[in-house]
Amino acid sequence: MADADVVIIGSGAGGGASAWALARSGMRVLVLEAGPFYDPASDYRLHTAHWEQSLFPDKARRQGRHTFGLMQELEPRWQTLRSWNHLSGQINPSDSRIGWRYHHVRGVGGSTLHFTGEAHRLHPAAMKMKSRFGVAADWPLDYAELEPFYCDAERIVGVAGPPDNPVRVRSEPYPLPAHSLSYASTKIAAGCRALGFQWVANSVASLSMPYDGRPGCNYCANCNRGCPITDKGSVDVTFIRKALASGHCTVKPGCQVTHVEAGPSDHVTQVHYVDDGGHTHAVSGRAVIVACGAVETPRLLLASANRYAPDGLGNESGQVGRHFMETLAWVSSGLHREPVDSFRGLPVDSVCWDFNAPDAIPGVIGGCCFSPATAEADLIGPINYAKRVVAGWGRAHKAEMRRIFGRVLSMKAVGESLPHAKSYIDLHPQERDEFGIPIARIHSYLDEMELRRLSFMAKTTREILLASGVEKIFEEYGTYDFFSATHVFGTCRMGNDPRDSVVDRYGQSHRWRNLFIADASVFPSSGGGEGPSLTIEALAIRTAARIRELADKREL
Amino acid sequence: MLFSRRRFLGFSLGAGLLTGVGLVFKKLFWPTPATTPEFQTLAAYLDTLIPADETPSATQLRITERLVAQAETDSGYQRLITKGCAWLDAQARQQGAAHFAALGEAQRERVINLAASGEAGLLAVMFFDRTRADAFSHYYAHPQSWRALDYAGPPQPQGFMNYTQAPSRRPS
Repeated sequence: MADADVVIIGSGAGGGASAWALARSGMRVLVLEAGPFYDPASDYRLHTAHWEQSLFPDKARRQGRHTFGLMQELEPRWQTLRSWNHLSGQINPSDSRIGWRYHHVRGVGGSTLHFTGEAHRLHPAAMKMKSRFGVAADWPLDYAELEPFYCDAERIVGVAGPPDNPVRVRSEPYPLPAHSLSYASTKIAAGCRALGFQWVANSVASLSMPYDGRPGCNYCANCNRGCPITDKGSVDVTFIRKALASGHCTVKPGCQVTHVEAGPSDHVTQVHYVDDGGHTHAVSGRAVIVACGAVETPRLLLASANRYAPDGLGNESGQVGRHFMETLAWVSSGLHREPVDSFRGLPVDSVCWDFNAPDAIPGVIGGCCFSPATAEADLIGPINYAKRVVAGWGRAHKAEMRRIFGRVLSMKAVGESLPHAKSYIDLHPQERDEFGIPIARIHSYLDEMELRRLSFMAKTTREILLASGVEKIFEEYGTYDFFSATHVFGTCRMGNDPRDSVVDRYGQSHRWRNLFIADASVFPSSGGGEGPSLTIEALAIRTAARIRELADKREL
Repeated sequence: MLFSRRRFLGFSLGAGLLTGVGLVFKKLFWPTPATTPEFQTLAAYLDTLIPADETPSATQLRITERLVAQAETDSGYQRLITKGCAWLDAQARQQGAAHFAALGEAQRERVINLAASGEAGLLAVMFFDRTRADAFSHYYAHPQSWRALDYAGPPQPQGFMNYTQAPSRRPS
């Protein structure tokens, strides 16, 4: 007898949402998570004097490792896209892009544990990039088909958003009303409108009032350090909580899956893992969902090659690991001429969608969006002001700290990432983890189109900041000279044609009948800067529905 | 993380120099007790970086002890601090003082300016850059330093429910 009806690998946005949907339908679910449970009441440090000294507390005993392939040379003509700080100068002093970090949390809830909580639906046109704009690939479903599942996800998370959205048509209103803008964000709103742009409340996974047993947000601005009061709708306090409450779901933390075993008859047979004590186990299910993210999912599939799947599990098309897409981002920070106390409020309470459509930026394919970023730039506490904003030391430094503390305004732009032949994930030929499994190697390349888009993002970000009352920009950073990605996509993309995709329109492997993928690796395109978590959750709920349907028809 | 090209290259070279003399500075010398001359030099240096005004100085918030504790598990940082303090004292002796702590405030500031500007060489600028950053990290993690900033932290459990309101501000 199978250990569970469905074994899910990973408990982030995709793993958590699919676990909830399957458990709700009465199926027995086993979730294997490499990291630990987090306790919001005790693991986060925002109530301590030392809160600013660290970011999100990574407490997984085994932190995943990855490496980078050779990064591109940086060109003088893109000098204005280099990262810099007015005190320390150019942050990357070399002439090559630096592979800095893939920001990924190992824990129950995955990267939603440290996310800022943006809860976006994808622009419908971004799902048709190939047929409409000749780039990337079309999604094998359209927005209308995904819309009901977006509603499901928003209801579970408790998304707060504004009423009108002519582009992203809604069949139901948001569960909660939008948050008010912080005082600091009203300055940005005024600047944006002065430039003729529209500035609206953002849709976010933070509660604007008590909901579903969780309190409303108290606007501490530190979503990225973990939410101790659970108003932020991370997967652990939403989907996983409800899945566990159903009685049909078991979550095993500290369990590192080493490989998924392909067997005869186009079925995967077992999932092999090592627990925190170092003991090996193998479990089976009627179905297996891989939900490790667009770096670790292809890694696991490639590392699961055996005689039945010699090129890697699900890699009959050679597409596993290809079409890697990443965060394309820019942040500018400056000092406002008046006190604004920008350390208060939701980190990303508002947004400009004017350039989000794939054809909205003149001369560029792929859109972007603009929003406040003071919290995400980590300029919301005295330590970072002292080190990054205020020059010098001594009495003058102290006096300046008193004068300008709270005046930083930061803006970010996040843009479309298009797939490129030079951007992919593979297995490092030599480096292994502690279990002897090859680690993932990230190859990333930004071509002319990406850099023209990034250039527009940087230029417009600066314009908005200066129109908002910022007197002088003192720091900027972007993803031209650093690979720094929170959002990654595309490496097991969905499609109707098994020759150029890994999974079908439901996330089911084209060949392996009981293998599914539920994370952003299935995205054929990234979107124009939308946060992907809500789309991952909607897709995962839909995948779960498909699994239930197949199980009822005894096809699993 | 934040380096200028000059400081980035300097750090890479300087780290090698420090490794070469590392054998001399054994664990016996760390943590350095508060009565030692080196501790006194470090304290005077930190109090020049962060002097007392309407808020406490570095030593009044025991930042010296925190820095010493931070270096306890980092032998490279121990060597940097030890060599940096020795450099400070050497500068003081050039001005006729027994050690850095015996200099007046203006003299101490001139010495630190030498280090900060990079004129005094790699070791001094490495020492300055690293200790400045760490001193600020420790100092501004102390609630007594927040008073003058009108900062009502830490962020939890109260949050900032007045987030939509203009700050009721102290004068610029």
